[in-house]
Amino acid sequence: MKWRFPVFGPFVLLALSLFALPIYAQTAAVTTRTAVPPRYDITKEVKLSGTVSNVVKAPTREMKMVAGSHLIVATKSGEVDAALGQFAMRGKGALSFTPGQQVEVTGVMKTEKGKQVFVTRLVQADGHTYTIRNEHGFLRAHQSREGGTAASKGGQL
Amino acid sequence: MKRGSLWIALVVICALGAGACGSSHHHVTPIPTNNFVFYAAGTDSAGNTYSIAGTVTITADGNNTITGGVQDFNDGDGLTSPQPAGDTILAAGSSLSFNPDGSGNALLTLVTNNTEMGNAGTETFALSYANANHALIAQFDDTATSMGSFDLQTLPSTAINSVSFSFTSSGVDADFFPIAEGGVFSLDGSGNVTGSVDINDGGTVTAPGGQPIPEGTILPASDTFGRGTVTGNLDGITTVNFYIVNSEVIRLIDVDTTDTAVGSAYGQGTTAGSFSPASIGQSAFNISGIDDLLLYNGAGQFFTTVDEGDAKPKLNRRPARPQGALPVCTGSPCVFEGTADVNESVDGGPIVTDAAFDGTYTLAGNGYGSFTFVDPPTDDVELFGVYAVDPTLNILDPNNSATGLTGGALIAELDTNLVGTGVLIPQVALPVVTDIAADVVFGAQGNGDVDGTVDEFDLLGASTVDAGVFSGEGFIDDPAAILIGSAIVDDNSTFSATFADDGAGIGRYLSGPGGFVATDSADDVIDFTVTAYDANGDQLFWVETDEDFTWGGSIQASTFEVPDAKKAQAKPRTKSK
Repeated sequence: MKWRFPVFGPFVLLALSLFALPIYAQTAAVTTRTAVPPRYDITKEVKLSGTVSNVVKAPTREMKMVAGSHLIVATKSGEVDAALGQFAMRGKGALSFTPGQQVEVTGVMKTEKGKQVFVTRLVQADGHTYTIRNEHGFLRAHQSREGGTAASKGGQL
Repeated sequence: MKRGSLWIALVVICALGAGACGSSHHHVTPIPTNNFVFYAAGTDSAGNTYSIAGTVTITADGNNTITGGVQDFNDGDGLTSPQPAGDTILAAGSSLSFNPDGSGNALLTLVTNNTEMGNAGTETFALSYANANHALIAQFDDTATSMGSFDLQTLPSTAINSVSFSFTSSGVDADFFPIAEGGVFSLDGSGNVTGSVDINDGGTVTAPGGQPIPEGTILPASDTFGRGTVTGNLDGITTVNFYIVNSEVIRLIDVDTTDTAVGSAYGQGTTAGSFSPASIGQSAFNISGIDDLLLYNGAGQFFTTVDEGDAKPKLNRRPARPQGALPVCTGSPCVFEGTADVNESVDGGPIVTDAAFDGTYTLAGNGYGSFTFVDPPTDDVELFGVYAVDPTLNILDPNNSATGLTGGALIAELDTNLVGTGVLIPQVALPVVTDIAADVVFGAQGNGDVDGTVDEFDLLGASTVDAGVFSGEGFIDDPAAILIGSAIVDDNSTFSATFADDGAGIGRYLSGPGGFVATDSADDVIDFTVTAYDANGDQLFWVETDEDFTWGGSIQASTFEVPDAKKAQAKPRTKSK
């Protein structure tokens, strides 16, 4: 998708490549398939402790960060970009963090958009545990729910 | 019914009514009305995924006066219509206003007794009528955007019972994780529900075969709006209200205050109990993730046949259209082979186009089945739950059972990495782009990732199509300012594209140079790269395949026509311009 500003044309053309493909018989033999690798592999989870050095609520495109909010956490082994996804700091019950705050983040380190990013499932701070993702990596849409089955209450820190 | 025929029909009805008035000097003759059932799912201005369903009563006197109705809204996060009454749709202030140009585009304003809804109780919806009985619908104001269906209601004379249904629904669970469900059920003479349901709750999937629908679940008789509340629950979790469209179609909406979902149940007709793998042949399909949460869309087509144990397609090379008579699987095991375009990029996943896939499938006599992917279109795809519907029922337009438009199945994605729902419908043997209906309506529900912010936008409208040249008008609804950096809630947008067949004879059409172009009334121009899969010329599925943006939806034949002036305005822009 591109927005083409009407004043500053020219228009950008997007084209799909077309491929002529050979024809072969319709019948198929079927083999078993190995299990789908989980996008979020909970067996690779680690916990990191540190101090929030920066809070990025909405990265700009130039930052080339994955979508959503981020905590930059200073750990003993250096700074970690802890991605919280697009919902944690948005809407009703949005979480709020401040530089200097001590946090423990639980997640999986992955490479996305060519950068190392810590895909955060849990954030512990000030005695609360906030669920950002579930064990399969699905983002929690809102932090507003009080009680429920989340690891702890959401809301303002 | 062609252009303007709705008006003609309504005038005829009015004339009949006037005649009746003339013979009854001292009595007030009620104005005939029609009930329409609507449902939609989308995102509100707080970023909540929400569901809505309801019935609105509209006079059939040609004035389209709204006389009342009822609705249920639910975002599962503090805004749920009060139960059991729901929200009352008030006559005062409510309206249905057609674009006078005959395109079938309309604006529906519903004033409710619940000031928490929309703007102080008033909701605005965009409608694109495919015919007098069916429209695509999207909430169209600065409080929410969504996509769904709006259909004439025909209440059965007696309670629905002794029939079988297939159903799917999707939404978010009590922890705000995406959830999709699909299954089959039967009703006995008392409305008792028996069946099984597959549940994908945030990547945790019920065991193969699903779980039984809890004993004691009952579909009771509805009220005069066709509305009721399921006694017990279909999934063992949620309280569900239903709205009857007709004896074979029921809209379902979760009315718990802590979760939200919406879906549909479709009858299995006289085929119930005798489905088999042969019931699913060459088909086109779409699949989409839970709105605002998973953000993926896919569309494709496939063939089915018996596994003959040879000539296995090479991975990433799609199957060719079979020659001669179309095969169906009459033996075992049954296999499917197809081609799809899938966009998971908003969720950080891949985009694949023209991707081959294959696998095995089953379909039991009760319509419950599954597709197990061996070579999937993307690594995330492994298992679809499949639930067959009445071969004489049109899933997209339940009031239109014209030959060639009916049958198919509902789909629930039962994967660890993807949670979504979709439909498959039979595909003609050799779809060609020139067979696309001359007049269509279209709906596209999308999400985009701009500067780290992900939100929903929707496109809706009517178009003419001439040899793949798409010239339309309608609505862009982007209250979250995803498309151009400022909000668009525009009912005078134009749309254009030139779709071209990809040459493989499978009904796969590409939006071509310039893409699918949406232009709002302020002349902001947005182009999308789109692939459409044609089921039968009157029903197509499409998917946007751009990075960080994706939408999916359908194109459906229309009996209305976009006027020439709008067609000219929407002509595809060429490189030279």
